[in-house]
Amino acid sequence: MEVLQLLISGTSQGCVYGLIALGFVLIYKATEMVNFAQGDMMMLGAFFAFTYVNILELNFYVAVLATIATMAMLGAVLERVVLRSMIGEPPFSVLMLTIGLGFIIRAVAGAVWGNQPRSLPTPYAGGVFKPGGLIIGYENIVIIIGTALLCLCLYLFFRFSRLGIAMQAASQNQLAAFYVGIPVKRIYGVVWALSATISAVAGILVAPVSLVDPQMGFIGIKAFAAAIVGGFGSLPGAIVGGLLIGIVEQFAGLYLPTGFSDVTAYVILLLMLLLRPEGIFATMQRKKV
Amino acid sequence: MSLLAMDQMSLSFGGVMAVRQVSFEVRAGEVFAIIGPNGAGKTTLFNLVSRLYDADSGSLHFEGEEITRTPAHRIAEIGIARTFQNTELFEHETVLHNLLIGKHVYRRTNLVAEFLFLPSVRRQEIRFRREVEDIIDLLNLQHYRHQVIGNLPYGVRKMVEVARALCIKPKLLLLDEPSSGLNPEETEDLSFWIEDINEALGVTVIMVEHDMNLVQRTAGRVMALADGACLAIGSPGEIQSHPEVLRAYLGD
Repeated sequence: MEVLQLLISGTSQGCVYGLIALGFVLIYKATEMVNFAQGDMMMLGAFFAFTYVNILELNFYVAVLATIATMAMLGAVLERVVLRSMIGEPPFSVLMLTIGLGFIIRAVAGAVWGNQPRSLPTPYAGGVFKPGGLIIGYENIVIIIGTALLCLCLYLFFRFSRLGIAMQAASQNQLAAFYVGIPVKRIYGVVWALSATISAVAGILVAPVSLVDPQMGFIGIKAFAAAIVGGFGSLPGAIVGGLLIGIVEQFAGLYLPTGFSDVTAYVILLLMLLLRPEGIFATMQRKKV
Repeated sequence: MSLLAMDQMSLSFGGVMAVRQVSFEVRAGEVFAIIGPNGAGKTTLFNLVSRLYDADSGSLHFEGEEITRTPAHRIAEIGIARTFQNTELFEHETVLHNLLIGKHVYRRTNLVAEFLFLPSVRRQEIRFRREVEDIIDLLNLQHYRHQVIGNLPYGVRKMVEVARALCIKPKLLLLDEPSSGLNPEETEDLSFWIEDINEALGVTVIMVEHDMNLVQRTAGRVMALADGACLAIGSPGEIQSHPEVLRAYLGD
């Protein structure tokens, strides 16, 4: 019973890691850039939701849609204004840029919304589901179902839509994409928008559990570990990596001495890099010469 | 009227003049070959025509419309397709998927219709598949339909790339060294296919080619380049005996 309980709370925490990892992988696959501000975009999404619900007093579901729209726009603008000029620059410069971007986002969020933790009121807050001795908060159920739905949508999007297929094409081979008529640069903007949208959803989902404050984006580092464990470059891998880290973390929290649960993500990362450096779902291949 | 016209185009990389004031016209329906020694600027010229590079000066017209500054991704829409010397395919996808994405510019459905798989989407998919199958038949790729590109031999990949270019239903097809890396047998087949593409599908072809045999068999007119400049334009026979061309290839 205890095991099942940990499994469920681990899954819900893992879903959040997985969603942020998804944001990392999406951008990396399409543009070969690693966006270290991914966690901070999640934080920003949570704050926008907080603003729409608490300050503008919108209906929660309307606020969710508004947050998604705001973050999508922000992602696209960020790409166009800041990152478009970085295409073809060394990865290290891009890395420094996105780390800097993270600092800026945190500072701005602190200035606008203050540094004390806020709570995001949700229609499902406080509810508890008790199937046979288990205790599951509604928030956790919403996180798991929300993540599953989002993954389904993404799957359909990449599998069946013109835009989704064009995105895959642009990320696999730019030159080939150009000459079948795909506007590769505009696609990059869409990728950033989509990635920001996913972070926004992650932010809204996690907000009732972890409270909203400018530092909450730091779980992005664990999500980054999750993306690598999943085989950086694989979308299902990102989710699986997130789930793995989330679940192991819960078990470590209970069975290992205090403090271990915080380093679990990195221990898993190190083990993975030692034993299977290509990740669970290998996508990296050596380039043939 | 000419289908494609390049007028006085030049391009330099740093201090190197890769293309010097090149002018030529390609007539609708012909096979036009570009030859020249290594480093003559053939591929650069190709990249200018397919809008991968911006020229420093000069102009480019396609069907009377100026395309000097048209972005590369718009080229497919107006009817120009190209292949690459070392093939640029979607390596992890099957041959069929590689060809279907060639239909991208013809896709007219929206996100909602696609998610619901409405009859309009279904009809479109069926039409695309039929057109793709025609190309597969034309180039004899039936056998490879469901194979992933990464597992295919080089010669087949080159033909898949030609097939994808044809899926765009181009008016003008640019082939960058189509015979490089092919064995003599495959090159022989290639010459028939170029004829088929040109005559049966009515596609105008411009190709960069080293193999003079292939050029002689397929091309109506040939342009010889050396050091980025156009030496001569004429029939394959004329070009082969042209004194300037001989000098460029053999030295003084």
